[in-house]
Amino acid sequence: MSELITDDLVLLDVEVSDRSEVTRLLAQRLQAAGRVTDLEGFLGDVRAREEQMPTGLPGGIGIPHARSKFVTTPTLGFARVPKGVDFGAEDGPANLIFLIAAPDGAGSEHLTILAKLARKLIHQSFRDSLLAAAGPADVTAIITKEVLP
Amino acid sequence: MIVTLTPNPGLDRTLQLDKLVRGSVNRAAGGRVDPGGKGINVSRALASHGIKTTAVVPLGGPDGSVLSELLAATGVTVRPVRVAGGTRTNVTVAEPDGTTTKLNEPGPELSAAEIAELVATVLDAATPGTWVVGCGSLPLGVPVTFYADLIAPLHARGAKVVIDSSGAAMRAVLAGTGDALPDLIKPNLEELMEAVGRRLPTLGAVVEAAQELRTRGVATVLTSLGADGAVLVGAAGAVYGEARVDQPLSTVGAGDALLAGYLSRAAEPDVTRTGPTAADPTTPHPTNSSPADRARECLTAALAWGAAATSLPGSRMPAPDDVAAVAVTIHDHVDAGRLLEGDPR
Repeated sequence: MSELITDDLVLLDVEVSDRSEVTRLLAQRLQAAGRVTDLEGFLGDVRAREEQMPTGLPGGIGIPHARSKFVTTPTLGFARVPKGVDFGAEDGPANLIFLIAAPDGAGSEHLTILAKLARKLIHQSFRDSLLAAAGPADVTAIITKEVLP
Repeated sequence: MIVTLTPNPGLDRTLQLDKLVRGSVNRAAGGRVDPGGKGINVSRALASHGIKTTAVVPLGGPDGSVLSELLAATGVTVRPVRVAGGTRTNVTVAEPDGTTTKLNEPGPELSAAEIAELVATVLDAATPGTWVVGCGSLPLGVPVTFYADLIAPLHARGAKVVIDSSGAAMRAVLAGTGDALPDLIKPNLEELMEAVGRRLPTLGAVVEAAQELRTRGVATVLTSLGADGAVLVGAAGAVYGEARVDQPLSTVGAGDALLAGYLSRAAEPDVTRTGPTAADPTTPHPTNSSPADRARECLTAALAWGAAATSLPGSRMPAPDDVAAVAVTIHDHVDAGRLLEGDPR
């Protein structure tokens, strides 16, 4: 089984105007890695989910996610947006964006990833370590150590 | 690990209306959706403190998927039991003058096979040292002995059992003996009165009633008394305390938060924290403290979490910062003659 997150799925210090732009940037990386087969199809599924209910969490977090038939393997993408981008959380824009992509019919695996991530993200120290990470490899190491297995 | 069981969960949809008018089209100014159900609330409160918790819930239909996702996003691990009927949505209409109108669906009826699957899932999650917390009402189709029948098998697996329910389901639980009785119950005043079959006008009467249940075999009775605080009656005797918040907003879910706060201490060392909870005022705590000290610690956490929940809108569960803002008083003596006036919570 391939890794949930790899260095090429991490975007640091990107500038975007809205949530769909950062989601697209991440999805492009997933496509380049062969984890998403149809970029527009996958983005449509993420958008449909986002329209149901915002995925912003308190503390500057956005977790766009979808189960999609265009996803080949459970994947986590990460983007850091220093200026923030609105994900609908009550306390303001998000700086840490996690894109969770799960194959359609993959049971509740994406929910397990989401729950583990959410439990970690409560802690300021975990958020700070991601905000301070110097490079993609650091982010991958932090997430792999703290959230997986 | 703390596993909660919510047999009759739902989505709580809150709509804000200027004024609700029967028989006309009412347009909501805004709204929000929260996961609903007593066991779910306990899990949400624990997860918001970084404590690992699993929620066992029957889920069906599109609202079931939304519910599992909402729970996951708050850090709760979901063990879903798929059912044919759709998960219910309960609607609360909130008007600016404070009037709230609730419209509750009955929820799906569970088949015998689905009930068996629910039981199997709970037993599977109940590894030795696990605390299993069964909360709330039972859905249609589920026998009133559902909780009562689960307790002995859970004990056989080395789990501790907490039941927080009312009416016939709770009567069936308390009718048990020995191994079939829960380790802990958390009645409110009304439920405690129901359990002993008499009115309880004073704190002393509450302690006596709790002692009576202990004599029957329930090891610990944690009674929530609304604005009057809470009484913990267990092996170390009776402890009484109160908590105050500046601005109470909503008592919805406060009893569940209180139970979660108690468990966050009482279930140690079986709780797994995912990281530092620096803002939690009741940590750190000595592990070699006496049973009486432990009881006070547990009650302090219970009161702080419960009161913090009342300072938050709707059924929002408190985070460490909310809990830290609560002042808790544990009394040195239980004033038996004290009259109770708080609303049952």
